[in-house]
Amino acid sequence: MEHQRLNLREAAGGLVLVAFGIAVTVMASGYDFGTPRRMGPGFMPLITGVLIVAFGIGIILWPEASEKVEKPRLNLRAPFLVFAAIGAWALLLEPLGLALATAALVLISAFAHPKPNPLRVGLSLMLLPLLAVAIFVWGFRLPVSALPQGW
Amino acid sequence: MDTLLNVKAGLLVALQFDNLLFCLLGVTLGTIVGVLPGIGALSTISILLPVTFYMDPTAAIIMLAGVFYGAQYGGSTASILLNIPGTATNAVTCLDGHPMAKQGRAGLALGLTTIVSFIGGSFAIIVLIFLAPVIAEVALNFAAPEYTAVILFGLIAASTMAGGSALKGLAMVCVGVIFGLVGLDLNTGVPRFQMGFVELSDGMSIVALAMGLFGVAEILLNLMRSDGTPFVIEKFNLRSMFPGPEERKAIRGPIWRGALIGTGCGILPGTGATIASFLAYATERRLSKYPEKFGTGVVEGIAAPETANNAAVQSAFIPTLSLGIPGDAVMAVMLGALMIHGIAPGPALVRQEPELFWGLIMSFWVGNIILLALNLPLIGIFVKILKIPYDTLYIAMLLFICLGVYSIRNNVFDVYLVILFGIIGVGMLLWRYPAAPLLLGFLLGPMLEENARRALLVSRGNFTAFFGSPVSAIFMCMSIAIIVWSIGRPVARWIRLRRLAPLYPQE
Repeated sequence: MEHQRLNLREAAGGLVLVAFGIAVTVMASGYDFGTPRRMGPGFMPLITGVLIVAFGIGIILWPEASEKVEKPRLNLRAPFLVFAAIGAWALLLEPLGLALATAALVLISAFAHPKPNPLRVGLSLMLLPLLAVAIFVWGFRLPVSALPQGW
Repeated sequence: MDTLLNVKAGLLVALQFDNLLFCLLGVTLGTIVGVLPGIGALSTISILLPVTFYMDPTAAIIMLAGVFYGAQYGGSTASILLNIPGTATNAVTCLDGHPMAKQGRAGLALGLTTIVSFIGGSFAIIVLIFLAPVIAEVALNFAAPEYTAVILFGLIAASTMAGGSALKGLAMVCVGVIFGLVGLDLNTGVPRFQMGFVELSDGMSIVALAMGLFGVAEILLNLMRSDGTPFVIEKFNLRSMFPGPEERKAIRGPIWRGALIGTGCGILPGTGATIASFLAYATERRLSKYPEKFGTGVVEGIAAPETANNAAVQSAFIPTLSLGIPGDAVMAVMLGALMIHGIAPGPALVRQEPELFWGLIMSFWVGNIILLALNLPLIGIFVKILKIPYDTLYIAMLLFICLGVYSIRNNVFDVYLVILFGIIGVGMLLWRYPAAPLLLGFLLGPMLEENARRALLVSRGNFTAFFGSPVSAIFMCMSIAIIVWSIGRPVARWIRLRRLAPLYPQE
């Protein structure tokens, strides 16, 4: 039973690869393949795309020897919040400035931890924006404003 | 006596104030991230990469390398005191290191691992000093077919030898090659796989790739695994850190064998420090007169793997510096750092950048000596670092990832790329796909295309060109042999199972 489920997981991974490989192959066939003597821009991509499809099929057909593997706990809160934090930083950086973007990153990513500690989060919320501005704006002269436009 | 002169000149470079300072900074940081489980050398180096753009290339590489080998010293500390490896390469050290700590011999275990680390590192540095220039000299005569063959061999070996599924490794190399080809084709100016993003014309940023795949993915894995409780540190005293005569005698053999295994594994692509440490441990247990005692706290069980992993991280620089072809992910990021500084890695490096080449090698000595000083008397301070809660660390790391990626091109687009590669990286971790081959494919893919293109142009499209010279023929044949062997095995097992299937209907 466990064996079956693992193979299903493996097959899903292989399918993602096959899909990716097909997409690559289709896109690559739009570029000039050229001849072996004069390789076009599509030569390597096409061969690589076909190889990805082949390896994907291989992974589905011959899954890894299924020894007892620790089943990873699928806790989607952490990835979601971490990616949201990075996304928020990127979105807010130019309109609102480095300090506020950093504060947003700290606030969102803090809740990715299973047990956020209010004191340490509060400290990070105050110190990290200051540190970021001090090192990258004043120190390295990164061309980004520390505060929102017009302040 | 050329070597001696070069060594002396290199030592002078390594002892320049700036380089010395960055070496100290690098190894200290390396020890810290080594001690802390959950932060590896690779993600630290990726995070530091953008900062090095403001530095002199020699100092930058010295610092990044320091983080790499410094982490090997620090990593054993967590293995011994927490029974959690500080970095993956110290996993074996837990087996005998932690029992030693439980018996009240933590001081000896910590002292011993530091001393054998130094011996292992030094051994590999000596090999590096003599071997790297020789290989580079030979490689100067390489033309495009030889390069194509060596790069192909490097990619195939790195993706199949590292353990796990060979098919997955090979698939990841190919995916990496595709990511590496994104952007304008240098020969024809045709945009490839750009999906309409102008920001991708210069290709994807290696920093965004490394940070997403290794930095963010590592943070996420820790967050998803942890339930938020802090580490439990084994109580220890540092009274007796130095091995007595009996222990010295016991570890003499393991040290030499460990150094040899480590140096060999480091040079070969795909077999890095982790495999070296496992091999060294297994070898000692097999040769031992009392194999049943391994795992209960014998000194040989920590001496051999700790010598081996330190030797391996130093000798990994041999192919990287002499051929410009990295064997693992850390070396790939290191090469990326060189390339961002406008230095073309390859056999010409020894001649064109002797200061960097010899300065870097000699900084390894300096760094190892600093590490000896840091880890013997000051180990108590580093142990305190284990008390830093992870929640303050990962938030700061995320911030530095964002800032670092942004600062390279002052471009928010690259930060979004980190999210993309972070998602890919987490998916790969959960589905157990290796990430190092992807990075190697990313870096070596364009080089492979360029060399294959040149080789085939000269040979007028004749593929036998790759078997024309002995060097390329040997590497081509080795690549084919590895592929046949590593893909053939699972297929053969499958066929056998199919044949046996009727005999065991309820398998």
